[in-house]
Amino acid sequence: MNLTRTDTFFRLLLGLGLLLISLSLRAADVDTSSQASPPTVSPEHPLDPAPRATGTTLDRVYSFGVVPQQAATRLAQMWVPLLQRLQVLSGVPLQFATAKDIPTFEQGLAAGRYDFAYMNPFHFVVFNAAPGYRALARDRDQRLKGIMVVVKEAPYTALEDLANQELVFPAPGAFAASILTRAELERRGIPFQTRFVASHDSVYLNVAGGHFAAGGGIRRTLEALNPEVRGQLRVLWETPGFTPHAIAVSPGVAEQDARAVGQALLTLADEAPELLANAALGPLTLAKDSDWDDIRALDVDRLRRLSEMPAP
Amino acid sequence: MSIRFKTILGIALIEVVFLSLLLWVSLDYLRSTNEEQLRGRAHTTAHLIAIAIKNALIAQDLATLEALAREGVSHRNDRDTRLALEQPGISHFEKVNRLLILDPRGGVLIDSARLESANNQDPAPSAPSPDAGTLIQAQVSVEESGQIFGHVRVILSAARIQDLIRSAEYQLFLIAAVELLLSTIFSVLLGNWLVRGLKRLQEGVERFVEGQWVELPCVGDDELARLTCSFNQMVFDLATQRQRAEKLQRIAESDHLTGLLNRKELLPELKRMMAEADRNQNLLAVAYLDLDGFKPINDELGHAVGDHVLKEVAQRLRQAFRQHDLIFRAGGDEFVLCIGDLGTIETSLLLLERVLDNLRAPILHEGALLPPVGASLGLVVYPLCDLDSPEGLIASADQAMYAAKRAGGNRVQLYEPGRPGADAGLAGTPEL
Repeated sequence: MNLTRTDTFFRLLLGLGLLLISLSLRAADVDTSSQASPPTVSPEHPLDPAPRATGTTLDRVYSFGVVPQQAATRLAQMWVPLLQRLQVLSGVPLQFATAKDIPTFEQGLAAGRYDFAYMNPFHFVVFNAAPGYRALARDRDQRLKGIMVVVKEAPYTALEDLANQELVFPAPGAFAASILTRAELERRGIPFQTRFVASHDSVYLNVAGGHFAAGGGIRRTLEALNPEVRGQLRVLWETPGFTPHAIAVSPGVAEQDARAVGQALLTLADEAPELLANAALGPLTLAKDSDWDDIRALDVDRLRRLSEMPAP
Repeated sequence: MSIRFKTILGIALIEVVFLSLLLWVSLDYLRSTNEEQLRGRAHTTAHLIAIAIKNALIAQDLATLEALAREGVSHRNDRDTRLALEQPGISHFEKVNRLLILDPRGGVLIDSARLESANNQDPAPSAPSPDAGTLIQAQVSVEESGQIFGHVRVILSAARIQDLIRSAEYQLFLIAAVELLLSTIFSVLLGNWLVRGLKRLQEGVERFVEGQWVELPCVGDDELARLTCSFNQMVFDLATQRQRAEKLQRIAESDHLTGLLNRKELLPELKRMMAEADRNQNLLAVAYLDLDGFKPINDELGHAVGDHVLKEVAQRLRQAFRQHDLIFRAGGDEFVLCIGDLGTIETSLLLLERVLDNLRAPILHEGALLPPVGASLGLVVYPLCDLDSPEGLIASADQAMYAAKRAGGNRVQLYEPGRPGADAGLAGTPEL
């Protein structure tokens, strides 16, 4: 009796032990097998076929290229909210795009890679010709002007006084500060040497420091300058006002979509002025291709040379 | 199955079960925490890389993306990356096994594995190295103001964790094995010690049952020592009782005055000795002894002196015989002597003559010599006498004793079966 009971006890203990061991082994197996196969994507997985943009009835998303005047992230911060609102207002799906630099952006425009694009007037004139971007809208009130600044005490009173001086400009493609100013100097037949620096601010600092006789810029960046530096400068000359940047549409975009986006752009001033301001734009107006005839009058070939854009 | 074996088996089983449980739980914990940590690191790494490549990804600057991917996450020319990587504590990241930069739709823009294989001019598409072990991946989207510009997928190898687990496994198993070994040794020793104590007790009990009394050593104050002490006490009590019982028995069986066996015991004892003689093919001598000259002492000097003489005679008889020879007081001044283990009749005759001489020596009582007593002895030697009952033997010895008495006493008379007549049946022995 006693022996039987003891034996039963030991058998129970043995059974418990085996059960626990087998359980732990099984659990370990499950563990390793779940590790062995990654749950989501194996490294060998082919390119993920992601669904097309959702939430629209259209079967394509239009790209909206923005000229890379600022760092890409900054541009995205300025433009993505605006485009999202525009998409809601127009019912046309839009996606922000930009390029790493102006030459790349120009290549994109030349190839018609952007369905919609925000570009400078010179770009518009060029890519209106080919591949045929059409003007959609532009800033209603703003006129684009370049300025030439000199130190306050400088003896210069007119552009002609700068003859044979070394002048400083931001990047060659900077339209108002660099192209318009140099175009006017050339048009007047004033000889000068050119030096490019990285930014508008560098131009102003270099002029204020006396390293150059004068430099090209625009009103807005001059006013944003540190007052101490700004106080040392004066505007010698200002270009006439030109038609500003264009919002244009590529010939590949359906007419009704282009019109819907154009209408939506006009309503933005009422619907979302803060988004326009965030993108450094004023109220917009519909534009015609001929609005940029003033730029065309400046001789496109000269402009192309000045901007260092390769010939088409 | 012995107690010792059961104990060892039980302890070992419990040890194995709980050690493996402990091992499993701790390894599982180690694995899951480390994996979680690694997953966190993968996510953080992906996040940092996302910050680093954001500008280039938004600008769709594939050349810069490629350069970033090629250098892993250490593109020193990129301010954001540099800042991100120089934050304390995150410069020692796991090596990124594979970095994928995806466009918003999930299409692969950059795959570090392809870049490497292109670098190595390896025509085969890159496969994960076989020793990479489990892979942990994390994906982070590059987003600005709600628009997704792409994704960063970081794949880390968990090989380091697996190494860690392996070494922990090794160490834990080693500790467990040592623990198991020690506990087994301990349980073997414990079992031995317990069983040794029990075995000693068991042997003590067996020897006590056989009639021996061995006091067991009881040292210490544990349960076993207390049990041993109690056992000793119990055995002592039982032995004392047994001794007392034996004494009572002896008293019951013996003659009160002389301490010799009494008449009641005579027949059974004689029967036993006869059987023994048969078995050993020995001779058994039975002698009937009656004192000569006792009656006058008893009558003239009183019963007290008579009793003294009887005691003295009994003492002298006891001295004359061996332990296993039996001496009975048959009543009054008559005794029966049973002497086993004899070779010849002559030997027994010689022995009895010597007894007779002994008895004749003077007896001292309260400083005075008593008149000497002698004895008449009738002897029967079994089985030479052709008798086969104890009663017959005693009767014949009695007859021979009367013959000795009639012949003048102080002699030994051998019973001769061939001559049944009272006088003729007895052959006188020469006086020695």
